[in-house]
Amino acid sequence: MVFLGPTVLAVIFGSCSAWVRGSGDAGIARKRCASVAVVGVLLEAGFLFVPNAFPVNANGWMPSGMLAIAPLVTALVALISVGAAALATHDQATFARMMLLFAVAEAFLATDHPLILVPLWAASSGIAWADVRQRCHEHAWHRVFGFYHFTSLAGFAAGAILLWRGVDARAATVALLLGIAIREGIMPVHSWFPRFVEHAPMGIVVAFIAPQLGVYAQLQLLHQSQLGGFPQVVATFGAVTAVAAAMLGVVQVKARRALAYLILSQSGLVAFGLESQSSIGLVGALLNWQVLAIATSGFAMALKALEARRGPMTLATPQGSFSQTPKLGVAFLVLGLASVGFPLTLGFIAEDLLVQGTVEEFPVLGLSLVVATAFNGVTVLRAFFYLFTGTGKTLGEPDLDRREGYLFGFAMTVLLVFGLFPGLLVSFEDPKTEDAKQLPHVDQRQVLTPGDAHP
Amino acid sequence: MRGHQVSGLTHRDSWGGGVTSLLSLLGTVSLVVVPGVVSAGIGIAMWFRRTIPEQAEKHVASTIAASFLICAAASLLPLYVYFSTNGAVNHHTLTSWFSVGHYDFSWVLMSDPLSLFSALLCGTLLGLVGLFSRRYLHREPGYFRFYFLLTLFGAGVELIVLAASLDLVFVGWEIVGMTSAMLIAFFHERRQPVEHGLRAFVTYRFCDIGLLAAIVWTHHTVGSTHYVGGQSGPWSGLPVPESAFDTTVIGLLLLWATMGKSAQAPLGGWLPRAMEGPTPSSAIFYGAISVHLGPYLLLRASPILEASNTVGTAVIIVGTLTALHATFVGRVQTDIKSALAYASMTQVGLIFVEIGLGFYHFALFHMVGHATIRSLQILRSPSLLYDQHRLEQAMGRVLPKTGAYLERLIPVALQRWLYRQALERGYFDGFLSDWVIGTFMRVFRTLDQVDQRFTAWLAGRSEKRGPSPPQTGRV
Repeated sequence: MVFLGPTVLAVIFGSCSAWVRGSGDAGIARKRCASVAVVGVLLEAGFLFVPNAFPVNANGWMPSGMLAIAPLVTALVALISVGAAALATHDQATFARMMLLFAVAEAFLATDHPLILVPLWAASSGIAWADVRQRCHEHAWHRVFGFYHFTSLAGFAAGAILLWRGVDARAATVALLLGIAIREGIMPVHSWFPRFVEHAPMGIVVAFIAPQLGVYAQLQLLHQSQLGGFPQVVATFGAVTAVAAAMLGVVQVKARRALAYLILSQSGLVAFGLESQSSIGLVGALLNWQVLAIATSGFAMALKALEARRGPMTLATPQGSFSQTPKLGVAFLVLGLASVGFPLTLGFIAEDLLVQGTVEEFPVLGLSLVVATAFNGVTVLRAFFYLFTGTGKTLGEPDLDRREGYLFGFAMTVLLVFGLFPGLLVSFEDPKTEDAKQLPHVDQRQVLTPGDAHP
Repeated sequence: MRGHQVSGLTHRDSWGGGVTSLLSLLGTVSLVVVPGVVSAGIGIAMWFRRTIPEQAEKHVASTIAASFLICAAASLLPLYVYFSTNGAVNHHTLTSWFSVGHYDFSWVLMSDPLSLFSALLCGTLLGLVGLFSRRYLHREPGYFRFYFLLTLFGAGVELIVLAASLDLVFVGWEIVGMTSAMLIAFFHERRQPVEHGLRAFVTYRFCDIGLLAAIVWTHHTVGSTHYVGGQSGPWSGLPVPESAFDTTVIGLLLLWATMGKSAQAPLGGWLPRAMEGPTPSSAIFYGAISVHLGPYLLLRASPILEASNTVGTAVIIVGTLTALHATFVGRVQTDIKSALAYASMTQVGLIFVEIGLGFYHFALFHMVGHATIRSLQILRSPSLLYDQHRLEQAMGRVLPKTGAYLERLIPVALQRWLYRQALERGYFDGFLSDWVIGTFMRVFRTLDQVDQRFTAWLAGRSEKRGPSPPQTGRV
């Protein structure tokens, strides 16, 4: 099935990519991208909310359940990332690639057919790799990216084909999980991730990572086809990633690497939660996915905004001046705290549901998430203190301009308002989770074992 | 007759009952909502206006002080209702925050004597400190930031003391921790306050693991963290699981949580360092309210303490160790705020001991008395030299040295050794920094380096040299 809402947006974003490539100036390219992203947000909001307000037949407009908000969130991420991208490191070609990545992400969200997902998976990796390769001025790290993502593509394609043909469910599951794990940076196949975040333009990083195509693939291919993806194994890897990445994030001295491990930890949380058999844990994981997209994108772009003013940044000593960049500091802190689940933000709702929903099924792993959350909070505050405080000197760093102020303000508002009133988002609860809710015991869920392939 | 009423928006027995419930509801809700709305207002104003005129200082400070004093007055309403209804505890279910399946997170506040007297005390002290700070921080660059954080802290504290479930306590608990770290680092142009703020926050987060784990474990075993009456203990408290093992685990997790917020040994090294913040915030956080939130939580956990001797004993051990350590180290401090910080730690340690022994009312009175006197002492501390000079001028001579009675009983050689131990703060800080945090950092930095070497190897070790792309410029 192909859903109308994300398909329309994929076409618009793809066209925009071609349009901005011919822009005379990076500033013009950014304006064009941001305008198109605004249109995209409004369109997706229309697709999502019009059927609730008016009696129209919206069957096939959007995916079902909480997946319905993913295209809108992706459009929001596109708006935040292109709008806040600094021109110092984002030229017309970069903006074009960003829009192309978002177009591919929307197209990915528009279907659940394995054979359509494979070329989109390849396209997404290929676009990011092309950008990475172009920028290999100092290190040949594009080889690292290429090695991991070629393996990921091979695994994903093999798994999708096996799933489609219904030959060997166990092999299909393993191959798909390998491809998804690499893409999501699940440990121990994560090594490409910190390098990528460290060196690539932040806009490309956000456009490639934030839509979390691996999560969608995990849901559509492994869960909805009822292959059963070794829940205990996947949950263990997810939880280990969440905790280990959180601890690695605390010890980083480069701001970008700290961000990379923060994202990895959040990805681990999502991967862990998706394996939950309880509706609470699953809704928590899905919400975490969306929070990861919005909050972490905003956080990353705030970091980029500071980097554009200061240059490469270290977390070795406090070296900033909050009095000169108060708004940027506040945006950085609020978005960072929202991404790690601070109370009164949407992230808190997501992490609370995730922990509460999984602890019955995975008591030790569920409690370990608490540790990950605590360490991620330390990473965010440490980054804030070391980047925005420590000196009274005039650094010549301007505060947020009006454009940035609106964008970061918008992102914060979304996270805070939905943090206080999360009912609307939770009401999109996946019907599949409703089924799970009916069951008194987890064991009764009808999951086919890997030997019972049924594509 | 004692009983529990579910009131507020959902249930009214009769006209009279409706009025008293409404009064109680209004009073209780306003305690949380007023500071919350004020802090949101200041935050929004600061976001949209970079510079706020100096004339606004007076109005903002007065509004905030008044709002806290209104809160204190508002707490009298539910207190009146409580006593006029022969001690019926009101649970105010405002709304469900979010619910999925059987899991529901509701905003439920509770008005019983423990929560209302605590709210009254907090509102009064916050209002007074708000008034005091108006002049103390006059023309300070972070004037509005201070008041924003103070009101946010106030909202968090009122939420903790009025919450009817541990879930809601966690929300306030985190807000208090964040505002505390921010106010320690208030003078952010200097590195020391920033590093001390981070140290406090790290300790908080490390101990918050205990609180969150206790919440999850309570949900897992009991199904809810809502306080219930009719158990052992003088007031409504946490539900006790059936299994003794679960009870002990939850109790120990809660003790762990309180050790961070209340600066109990060996985690209390952040408290004297926290005195880098503005004096009014030191007074309200580390003299009056924040350090007493740990004992407050333990009072709410009194049914668990009653049910598990292990937990009660652990609370006594932690309190005793802290009291001895703090009084010992406090004797060698050379600045007044550090000495007061250790004095606070000593008293809070004693309050822990009282709670562990089951003297709950005594502990409550001790908390109220200590919070009041200590905040006054810290507020007066910047004027200490002035006071000393005035006293000496009045007496016409240098003030005689007082105290040192215990020291006379100790041999000189041992005194020196003890002095060194005290100066090093019992080596608790050194142990934590070098052995615990240091080891953690070394292990994970090594892992990170291994990962980086692996990717360098994958990259073929061939590093192309060329110009780097520009990093700064147009934003």
